[in-house]
Amino acid sequence: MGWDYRQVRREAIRQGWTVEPRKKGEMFKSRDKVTQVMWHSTPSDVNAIREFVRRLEKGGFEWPR
Amino acid sequence: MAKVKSAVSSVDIETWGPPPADDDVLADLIEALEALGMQGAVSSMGGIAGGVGATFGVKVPEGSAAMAEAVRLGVDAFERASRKVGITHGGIARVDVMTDPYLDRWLTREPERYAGVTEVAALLGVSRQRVAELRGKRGFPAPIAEISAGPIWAVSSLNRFLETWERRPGRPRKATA
Repeated sequence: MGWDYRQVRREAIRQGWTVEPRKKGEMFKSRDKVTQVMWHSTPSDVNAIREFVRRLEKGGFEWPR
Repeated sequence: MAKVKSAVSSVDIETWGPPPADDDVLADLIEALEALGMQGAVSSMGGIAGGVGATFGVKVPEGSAAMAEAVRLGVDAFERASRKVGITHGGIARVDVMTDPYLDRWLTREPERYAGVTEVAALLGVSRQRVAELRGKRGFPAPIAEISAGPIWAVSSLNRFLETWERRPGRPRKATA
């Protein structure tokens, strides 16, 4: 799966998520602001992007397939 | 000594709220989880339970007890990491584990599509009237919702019906005297 953080970020914004900078990364807030997901700017593992998308999906994000 | 194979499972944990006042602790939680050997950690807050949550990979020995072990290790790491960064919660509300291959499938699955009577008729190759008749047939899926425009079905349930439907083409013959 060739996911890239910038692609996921762009798609989340397109779907109405807001992205706010934090000291160590970025906070993604769902359109209804109920779910907030933290992305660390220096993930230790390449698989972090998959865990990130899984988390975002719980907040209503849909990766275009 | 035989080497035990291990695999990574994705553990997702949600806790009861309230969320922390300072959301910068979510980044600290990621670092604390990774310091404990958890992989690719992501943290969150809110959702149904309202508290802090995290999703991360945990390495467990392969075998029938792998899922239970992933839950045990994952919850233990989450609790230790939370304590270390000063996060409190009202208890674990949900733990969800996926094997790595399942996570791949989950993330690449087809999204559900929905259909009204017209789309169902087209999908089955029948008239709208026939759809109304089929609704009374055993095995025909129930709609997921009824709205003012009519019933709505999940296309996946209709596809399952199509796989087993014994279609009888043509009108039934008229009875002859």
